[in-house]
Amino acid sequence: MTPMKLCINLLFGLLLASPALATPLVNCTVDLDRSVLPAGQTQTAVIKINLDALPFQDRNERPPVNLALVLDRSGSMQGSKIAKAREAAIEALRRLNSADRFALVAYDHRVDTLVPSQSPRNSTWIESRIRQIQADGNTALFGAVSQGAAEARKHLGTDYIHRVILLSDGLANVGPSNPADLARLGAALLKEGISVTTVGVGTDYNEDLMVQLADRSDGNHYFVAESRELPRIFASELGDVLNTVARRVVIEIECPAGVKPVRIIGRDGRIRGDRVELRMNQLYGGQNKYALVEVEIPAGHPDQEIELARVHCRYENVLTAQQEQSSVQVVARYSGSTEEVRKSVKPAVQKSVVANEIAESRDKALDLYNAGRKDEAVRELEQRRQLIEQKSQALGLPALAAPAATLADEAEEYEADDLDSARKKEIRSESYRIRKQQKDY
Amino acid sequence: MMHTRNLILGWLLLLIASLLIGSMAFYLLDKQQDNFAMAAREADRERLAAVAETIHLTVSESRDALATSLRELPGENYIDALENWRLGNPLIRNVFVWRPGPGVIFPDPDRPTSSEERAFLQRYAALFDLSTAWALPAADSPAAPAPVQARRELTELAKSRPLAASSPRPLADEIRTRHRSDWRPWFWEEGLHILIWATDPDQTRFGIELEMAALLSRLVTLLPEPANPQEAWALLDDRGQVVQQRGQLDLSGNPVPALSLPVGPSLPHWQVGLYSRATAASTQQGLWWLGSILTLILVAAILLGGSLLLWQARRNQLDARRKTGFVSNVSHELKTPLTTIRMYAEMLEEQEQLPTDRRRRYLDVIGSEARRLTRLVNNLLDFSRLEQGRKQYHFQEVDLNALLTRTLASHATLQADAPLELSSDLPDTPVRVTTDGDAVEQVLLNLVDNALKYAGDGQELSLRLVADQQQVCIEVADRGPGIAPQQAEKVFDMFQRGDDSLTTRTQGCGLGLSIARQLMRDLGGDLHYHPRTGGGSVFTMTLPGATPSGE
Repeated sequence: MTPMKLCINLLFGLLLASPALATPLVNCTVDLDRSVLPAGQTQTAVIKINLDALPFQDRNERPPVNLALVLDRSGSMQGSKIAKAREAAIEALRRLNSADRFALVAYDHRVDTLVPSQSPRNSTWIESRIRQIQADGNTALFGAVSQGAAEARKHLGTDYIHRVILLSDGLANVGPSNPADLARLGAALLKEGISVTTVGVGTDYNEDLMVQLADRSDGNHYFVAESRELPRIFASELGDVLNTVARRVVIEIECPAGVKPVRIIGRDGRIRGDRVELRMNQLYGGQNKYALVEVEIPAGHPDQEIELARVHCRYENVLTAQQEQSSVQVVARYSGSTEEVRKSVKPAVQKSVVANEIAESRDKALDLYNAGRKDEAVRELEQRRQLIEQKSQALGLPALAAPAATLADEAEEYEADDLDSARKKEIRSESYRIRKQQKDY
Repeated sequence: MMHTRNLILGWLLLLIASLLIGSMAFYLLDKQQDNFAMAAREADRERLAAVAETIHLTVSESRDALATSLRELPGENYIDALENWRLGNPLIRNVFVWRPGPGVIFPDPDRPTSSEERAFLQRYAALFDLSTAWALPAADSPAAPAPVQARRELTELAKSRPLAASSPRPLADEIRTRHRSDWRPWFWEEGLHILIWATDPDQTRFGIELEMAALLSRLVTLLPEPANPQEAWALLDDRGQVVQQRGQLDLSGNPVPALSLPVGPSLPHWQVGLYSRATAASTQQGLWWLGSILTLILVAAILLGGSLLLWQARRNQLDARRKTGFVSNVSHELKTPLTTIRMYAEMLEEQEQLPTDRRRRYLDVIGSEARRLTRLVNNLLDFSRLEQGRKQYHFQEVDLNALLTRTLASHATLQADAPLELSSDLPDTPVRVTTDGDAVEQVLLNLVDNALKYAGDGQELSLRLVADQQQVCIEVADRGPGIAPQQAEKVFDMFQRGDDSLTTRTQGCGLGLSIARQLMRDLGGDLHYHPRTGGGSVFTMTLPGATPSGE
């Protein structure tokens, strides 16, 4: 490198660095499904809160990751599944550097910590431990996640990004095995800052359990029909984990008197009186996450401006370990002109709302179907399709109705009892990805 | 017979004694095994109790710590503090505030904000509407065991601060003295829940529900790894389901634990269980089997050894009896010719004027008796030589044909005495074999002698020689009384004579046939007896193949 080039590089570096310092790490913006409201009537509107996290400026700058892999080695994993799982674990290991921490727990009916949490520096030994894993026995999933969390906990309180990756292909049959039990375990782990990413392999695992565990602990969820995809999925997951830029993200929405929050679309959160609270354990650099909150708005006069909400976004910058915060105000305007109202419709927000509503409906229909209430499931899907079609007609946005067509197909599948295990898992993981804005792999 | 009875009696005593020893050994073995099993069970129980206590202490301590924090909760309005606490603490599942009049004031019973809150309100509805007493019935919650109490006191002691400490503390201390905390287990559909609350002076109760999932998840590491790979520890919930396990055993299907103990009042109806794959029992089983086999071998050895000794004793007894018989027989045999010789010698001495023919006859008798005596003595000598294996043979080529002819001729005098018709069937050509001629002659003479002695009135003695490449047979046949089939082989035994009737009638020491057979076997041949068709007996001497004659 010539001195000349070095100078230019330095210059560019400075130029690039300075705006990065000025703009916040996480850009919090709000949007309404329509910014102009029809006057003279009570109505609802959807507030979309966008969180855009900046990617790291410097790849080497990322905070260390505290990873615990929890691998299923029960009898059903025999053959190519366990081979690919080993390969995927080694793939994950190779993406870490010596500042990170790596632990490996393998489980069947018993749980063994094969690699206690340690630096991946000693990769030869760790790899040899990974290669020794053989599949056999039952599935003690609760104990395994607990053990994985116990390994991760060894570095709790330090500035690691904590992550447990659970891989399973079977039903939990030792210890607590209710989806609800695992969901509560996930919720408890989230409070400690540990997210659990669940990877379901094949068609025999309990998708409700795996999805809820990931959901409540704010991890990702993957459905892998073919075990050969495992290494790629681990790579993708590691890509997310290594890109964590913010954590302990809290979105608080305060509504002024008169405006009442009704529901949160897609995500879980709490509505208490005029306040809504949403939490995410982490934000990945370069990715967009959003929350949709529906509020009830009182009637107003034309041209009156109304504040709908004040959104506070708090998070911890993982690089500086500092709390950062930003606040945005959501303001709308009443208008007597229907044309103006129609023009103000934001197709992007509407699309998110529809996608999330479809996801919620699909989840709900599947719940009903699993509970043996097939007719209600079909009705749920049908109703949702009609609602979306009505909405797209009312808004004059025919593109909105396009995804609703799949609901009709799905309703037929339900009707015909043509829903195999793989399809259920597909539905769950698809709606999970939409609700959590998990990136495609 | 007296002796036989004694022997049987002795054997029976031996049997009884060894059976007694055997059963005693079995009894002791069984008892020892019981002891082992009991000791193992006791050790298991103690280990299990230690595990149960650890779990109980851990749960009690975390519960106490939560109660303490609860009492020290700052602020007039508990709701925000509780809610923040819930959001941050994994051990807290739900929080609530309750007042005597309106009941639950948080979470809002009319507008629960999540399904979790709804479920919580439903779960504790009976408690919140006072249809169930808050305080536990005394029987259900025994006082904390001594170790817990002691540890709790120590913890409190360690936490106590100097009184002069800075500002916010006195407030907290004051609150603590004002508040009282309590807890209770609560059983609902999915199992055990734990509610901890504090009561302030105006009877407002605020508290938390413990997150059992988080608690259980932490308890994993409390179960020790079992030392024995055939064992497993498990924590069982109130329905007997395995919640956590350590160890390699497969507990799917919820088998009944080998041993289980209640965890304690902190987790009512929960148990810790010890499972083992029956090998602990089976090593003892193995010991039992080994012991049993050894005992059986011992008993068998005693019985066998005893029987052997008894058998030996009986044999010796028989031998001794036979030898006594033998000695008296021999004495008698020796005495008879001696008496005859002496008698004739005395007659010759006294009657000097005897006619020549009588004198000659007397001398013949003396000669023949002397020869018989010699034969007898020779037999005895042979017998002792054969017994000691010192008999020497002089092998040379012998013409059996000639030998037979010569022997018959030399017996002419004897035959003349007996009313026997002698016939012989000999081949025309010489039959040459390599053998000890003297021994063969001795056997032959023995057989002829026997025939004369026992079958003397059979009037017939025939001799036959048959020779081929493989073997040579010499048959001596008579028309005597023969030998009973059951005696047929015994006649070849030592000191054995055909049968008593014979024994009493004629003399003999019972050595002849025994020696004869021994001699023939030493020469590579044998001696057999067959009954003769038409009455009488045939003794067949065989010798190995003849050398081709004439060449």
